[in-house]
Amino acid sequence: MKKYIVLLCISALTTTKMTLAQKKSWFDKNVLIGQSMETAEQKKEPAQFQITLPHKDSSSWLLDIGVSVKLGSQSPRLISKLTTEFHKNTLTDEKQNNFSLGYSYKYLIPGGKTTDWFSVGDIKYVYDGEKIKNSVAANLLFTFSNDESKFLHWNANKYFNKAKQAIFLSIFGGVQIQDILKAKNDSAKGFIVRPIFTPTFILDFNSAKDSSTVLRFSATYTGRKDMVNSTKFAREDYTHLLKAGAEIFLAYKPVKVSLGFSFNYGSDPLKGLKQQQYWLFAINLQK
Amino acid sequence: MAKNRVIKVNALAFHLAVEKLRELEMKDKALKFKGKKISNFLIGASDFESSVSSVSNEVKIAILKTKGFENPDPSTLAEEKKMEDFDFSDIQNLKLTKRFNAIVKAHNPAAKVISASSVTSCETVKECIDLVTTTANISSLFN
Repeated sequence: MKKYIVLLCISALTTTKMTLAQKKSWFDKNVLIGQSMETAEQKKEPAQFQITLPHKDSSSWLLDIGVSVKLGSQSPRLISKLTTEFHKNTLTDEKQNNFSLGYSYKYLIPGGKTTDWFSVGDIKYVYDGEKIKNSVAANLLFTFSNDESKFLHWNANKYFNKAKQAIFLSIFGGVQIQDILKAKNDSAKGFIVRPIFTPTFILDFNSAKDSSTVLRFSATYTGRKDMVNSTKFAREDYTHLLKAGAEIFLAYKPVKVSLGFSFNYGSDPLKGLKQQQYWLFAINLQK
Repeated sequence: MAKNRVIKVNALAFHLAVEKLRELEMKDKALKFKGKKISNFLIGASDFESSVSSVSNEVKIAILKTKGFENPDPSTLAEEKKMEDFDFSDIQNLKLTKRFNAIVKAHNPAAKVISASSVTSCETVKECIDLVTTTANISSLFN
């Protein structure tokens, strides 16, 4: 069954008002708050929150938030963070209640010239509040970047028509490991290995004046398969998640205001998101 | 000898030569050429100003290339521009760090390496230029 959700999303990507004379605080420099801290980076989206408290009926929730804290490093090749995510959704057909806490990194592999390769990964504790499962999970992915090719750019914009249009492409591939250590249902315990890939496509229409984005179309697809699964449940087989949408940017200053909608179809077993589809309309405010 | 002859000198070698001269000038005040300290005469005759502005341009080109612009014109990028406006991902910040280190190495092979954390801490384009200039130790030539 289809479901429609309308949201007002306010992001605290930066929280302190800043003038040119003021320096950013430690919080502004190192803490990022968004909808998710996905290992395979996609477009940055603000956190989402909605709660409905009816007089007689039970309350309904939608909370999609990820927070990361940058860890200092002297390396020219490494960016690492502590990350936590919380996803609670009682508005859609299949409920989601998922928490994770862990460490993530991005590492520039030595030896690249015009094309650079990166190792991207994380290790985290994951709690699924719907199925009452406690897991340790890890992602080990690879991606590449090329912003000098005449034909296509990867992990960077490729501008066309005097920068009035831009295409951003990326692809991440690797493996996801989940060890379900403790579960309410003993049959759920076990070890799962999922090869995984995530391509992203973004098309921007930019202002002729300053190249700022006016209209954006984006699509991110994640495909995975449980190649190894020692749980006593039925195999997951091939699962996928598609997020496609459009966003109109109405203002950039003093706050970034955009109006967006997205179509979400599929599942994410590690995040406790069961197979479903829904449309999401949102007004995004970002400082 | 022909006038206006141009000699290309490695930036680091020039820097070290000027430093050595300054040490000698401290010991022997009589070391002068046409009434000027030899170190000042050499700096005056060199195109070091353009060398520093070249770092500024190289940093701007590195930023614009990382965003995806081809053959970018550095004069289109203001030093006051905020880095957060580029909305770089971590992957792009690592690529930018690599480019900044290549600039530093070209100007001063002995300079230390810029960390990715230092690059992500830059709030404006000017702070990136200062980071690269300071790490390459170019500004000290004018002291």
